[in-house]
Amino acid sequence: MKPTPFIQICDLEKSFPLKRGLFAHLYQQQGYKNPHVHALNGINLSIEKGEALCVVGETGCGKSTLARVLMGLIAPSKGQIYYQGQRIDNLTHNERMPFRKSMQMIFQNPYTSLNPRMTIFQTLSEPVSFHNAKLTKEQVDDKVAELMLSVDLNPDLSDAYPHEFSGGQRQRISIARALSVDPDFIVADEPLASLDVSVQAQVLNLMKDKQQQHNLTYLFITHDLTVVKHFANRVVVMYLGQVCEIADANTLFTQAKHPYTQALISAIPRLDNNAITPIKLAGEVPTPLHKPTGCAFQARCHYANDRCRNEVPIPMQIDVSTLIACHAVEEERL
Amino acid sequence: MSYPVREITFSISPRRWKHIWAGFLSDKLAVLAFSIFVFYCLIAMAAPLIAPFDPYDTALIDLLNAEIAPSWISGDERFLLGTDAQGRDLLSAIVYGTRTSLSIGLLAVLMQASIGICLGLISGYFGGLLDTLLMRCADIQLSFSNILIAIVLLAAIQSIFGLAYYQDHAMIMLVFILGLAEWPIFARTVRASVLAEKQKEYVDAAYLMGISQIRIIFKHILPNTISPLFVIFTIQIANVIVAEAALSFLGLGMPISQPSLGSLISIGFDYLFSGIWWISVVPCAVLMLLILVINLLGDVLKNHLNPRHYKD
Repeated sequence: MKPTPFIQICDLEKSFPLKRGLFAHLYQQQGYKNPHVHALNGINLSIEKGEALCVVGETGCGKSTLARVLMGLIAPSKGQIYYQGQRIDNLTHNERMPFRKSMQMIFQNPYTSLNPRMTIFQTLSEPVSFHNAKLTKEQVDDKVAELMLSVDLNPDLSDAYPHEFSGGQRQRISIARALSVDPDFIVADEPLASLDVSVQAQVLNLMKDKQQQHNLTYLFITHDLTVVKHFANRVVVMYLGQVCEIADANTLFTQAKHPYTQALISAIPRLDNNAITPIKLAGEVPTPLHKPTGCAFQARCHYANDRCRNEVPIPMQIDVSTLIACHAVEEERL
Repeated sequence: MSYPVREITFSISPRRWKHIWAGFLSDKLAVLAFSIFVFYCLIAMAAPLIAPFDPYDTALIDLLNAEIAPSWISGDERFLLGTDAQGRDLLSAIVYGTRTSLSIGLLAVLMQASIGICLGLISGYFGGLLDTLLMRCADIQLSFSNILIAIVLLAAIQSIFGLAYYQDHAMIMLVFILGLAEWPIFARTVRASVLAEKQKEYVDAAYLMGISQIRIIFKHILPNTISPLFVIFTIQIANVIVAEAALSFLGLGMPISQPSLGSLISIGFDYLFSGIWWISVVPCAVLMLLILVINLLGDVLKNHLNPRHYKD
């Protein structure tokens, strides 16, 4: 028997009704159809202890929804989430309390993820004293100073407000806040997207250091494949609310199998090798309003045949670490 | 399963107060407005000590003294600002009237604000059916003129409890009615800010920390929605004072025996065209200065309480 994965996501679905409110509700009862946006369509995923799992995919493919459902910010429409074997997706805010300490999140925008009316001390001391009811005031002060030092910030700045810091500093404060409860799992939702490149490296290295120091597990969401190369152990490629491919980072960059992954990787801007011509995809991402028939990617895939158009591909283990949902790979047409 | 958590309180740090104080001192207009407002408050609080006569004491009123012009015109040293049609000293009436008007204004707006802010926060944060319900109530209430509501309620109260009872408790009644009449203004403003704030990730972050929703609403969201309220708060004080004056003018506000600034103006209005201008104009000037000063203070507060708008 396989050991229980650290975090397991089973058949996770999330759809948002397009129309809301009393009338939409009444209409639906009358049998009228209220269209739904299908953000996640049956995600199966397991995360191992201590790894950095990167989720990549283009805008609107459901990466952020996955993070928010996982953290319990929005309830899933279907499916289960297990944390060390315990089901957590159906818990209430209070029931989830013991898991809050172990699972934390770093947000995309450091300009809105810190409360502008709270000093850094207030922002950091709130979770510390909230989750450690026994600590004295001095111990809380020490812990906050220690947290600030651990993300290379001067503890003397703890009485300053977020607007007095730069974007990179704020993102480090966000990291300190996530670390304040000593979690073992952190979801990072595009934490580098609103930082400039020099600062991105700094923040990324800080996150790697913290991973080693605290034996953290990351779910790292990004659309920057160079970051993935630098950071990830394993990579999940998502397209239109579905998982296309899960592979080791090294395998993915050297021998991607799924046509979508191949196209993504060929599109990384590079200076060393101009010989690789990017694979140009035709068309646009289909609307998530309708569940696609067949493979989600079939409309833009160069290898699509009739089976791809009618039958949903099931993710298949093709070697120890690689999982691919593609008929063409299965039939060895690729 | 019980999980030990601790309630935590914050105060604005001394450093922040220093910022606010420094910014305030550098703003000459703010200092002026603040001093005038403090002056008004002192007068209102110390009214019995300052006023030369007790305007509520009918024994001191002599009809022979009626309609004396201010002392610089009439030369009558006893009445600095003249007397009204009953022979009441206008200075004393104004001092007591300021006290009444300010109390009604502040108390009624405090009531509006506490109802409006609570409902607005709840409505904006929880959304859904509750939000729809509360906001439709607010719309319905706003579609009536608040004076109309006040007239209906006051007339009903007067006929139920009797005029004598009403006149004894006029101030409390006015505070309650004016306080209930305009909560939607606060509720809507707060709701709009809450809708914008709850999208921001710091709310999610607090939620993920396990912090209770009540604490998120009042400790995280409320401070970020408060600054537009200062302006409304001050404008509403002015509005309430004016509304109270209008009600007094219609005979539904403060009784003539305990005049507010508003009722003084309306009493004097009858005599305005017979050349006896001071009964109306002097309280009017006092009221206008008060309202101007309160509005200026609102602007100052708005600028200085926002950490992003510090002036060094």
